[in-house]
Amino acid sequence: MTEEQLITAAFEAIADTTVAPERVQARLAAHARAHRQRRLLLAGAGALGTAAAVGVPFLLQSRRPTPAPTPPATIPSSAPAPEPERLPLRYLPGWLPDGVVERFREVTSTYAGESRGSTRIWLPPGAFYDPDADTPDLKIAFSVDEKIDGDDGERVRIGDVTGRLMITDAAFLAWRPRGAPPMTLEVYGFPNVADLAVKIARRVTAGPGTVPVTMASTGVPERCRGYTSLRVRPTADGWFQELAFTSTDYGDDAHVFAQTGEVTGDSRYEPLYRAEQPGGWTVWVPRPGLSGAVIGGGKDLATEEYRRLLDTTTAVEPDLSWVTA
Amino acid sequence: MSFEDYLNVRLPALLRYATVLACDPHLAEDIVQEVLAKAQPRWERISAMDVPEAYVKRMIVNELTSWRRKRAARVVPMSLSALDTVSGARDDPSAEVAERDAMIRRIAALPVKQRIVVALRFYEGLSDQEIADLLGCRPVTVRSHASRALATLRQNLPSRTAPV
Repeated sequence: MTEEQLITAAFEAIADTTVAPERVQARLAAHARAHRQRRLLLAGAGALGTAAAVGVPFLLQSRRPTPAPTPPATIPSSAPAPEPERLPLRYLPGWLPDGVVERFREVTSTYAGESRGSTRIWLPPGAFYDPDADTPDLKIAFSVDEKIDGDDGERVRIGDVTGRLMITDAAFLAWRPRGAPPMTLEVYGFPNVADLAVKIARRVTAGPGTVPVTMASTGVPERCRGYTSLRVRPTADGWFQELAFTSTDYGDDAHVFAQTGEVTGDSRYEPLYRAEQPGGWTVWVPRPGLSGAVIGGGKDLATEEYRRLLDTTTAVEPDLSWVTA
Repeated sequence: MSFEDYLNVRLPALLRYATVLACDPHLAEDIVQEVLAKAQPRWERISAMDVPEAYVKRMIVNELTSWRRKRAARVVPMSLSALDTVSGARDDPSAEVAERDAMIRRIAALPVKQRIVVALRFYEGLSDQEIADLLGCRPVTVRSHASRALATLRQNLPSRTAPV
């Protein structure tokens, strides 16, 4: 066999490892519906899990007079901010390795306010979580009420249940403790990520911890009123919040953001309308058609719907007391 | 052709293409997902192009070489499970299969741009000019990548004339 033939044969063998398109197609739809919240393996967010009623935190705004939809949006800054409701994290890792600090929190509820799940991300000190950025040298992500598609992976014992462990350039672990929602864990960059993931997972327990709901909106189109997620993270110049509304089939969604610093958008979202806040931060909504989330029959918001979403949004500065140095 | 029709017809080929370039079916799966998720809202415009697939393939190459993918390309060019999939091979006594597996590992360890150039040249059969157009660089750069890649692939290659 010549060198050229050998290289070609090697590529043919590599090509033969291609995954089945059916699975990818299903994943693509799920991936898009979930709005690319979880890169790589995660999909099907919120499909399972026990809901715990905690009120209606994302309807915070309904207790206030609704601002007029036009003229251009301003958040009613003079109104006294009510004490935000809180959503629980529900389950906590009881142990984490040294070398990482918490940099991201997300809580999800039904539109009516029943808690669904949470996600937390830990990165090296000095690093900030950015969905668009290269992953820092170390990363741990723990999600409650999240599962991983398919049946792949090595079987591992997590307490009295069996989980699935998948290794790519990171370790992904999925399991479901008895009486609890499904959980996932991603561990990247540490020596022996597989063992570390199992060790962390075995120490997850139910526990306290809540996230104050510091954004709310009443102007959400009916078709997006399935689940609501609030995502909060510190940034190099302050903080970033995202409020996401998703239909129960994940086909439709809407987003509104609040942040300090310059509003530039990212690879998914480009600012459409914005409302500058007295505290020096900005609430904004994205331009339709850029999110890539409408595979599977969903319909993106129209410009006027984003206008109304912004006009009916209430936001206060997030609680970042959980951010460690 | 609607986006859904395009997926039905071309998704297998796109996955195969990405798998060869990435040397990792799982990374390829992720990349194709992301690329198609980005392409879908723009599909009306993309489908109006002369060769929509060329545009999508370029998106795949860009995604693979983008800085967001550097960690995956750097740390594990080809996942262990993917190598296992290939290597029913490992137990095969055939010297050719063993050589092929060794070559797979050397290809997988190449820097991503070198690997892409070699894949496009040897698997896709593209010319240096076509590869340059795809990568957005000059043909001389393509030849440089190819030359370095082939030099690496030849290292430790068993000599055809050496005694066993």
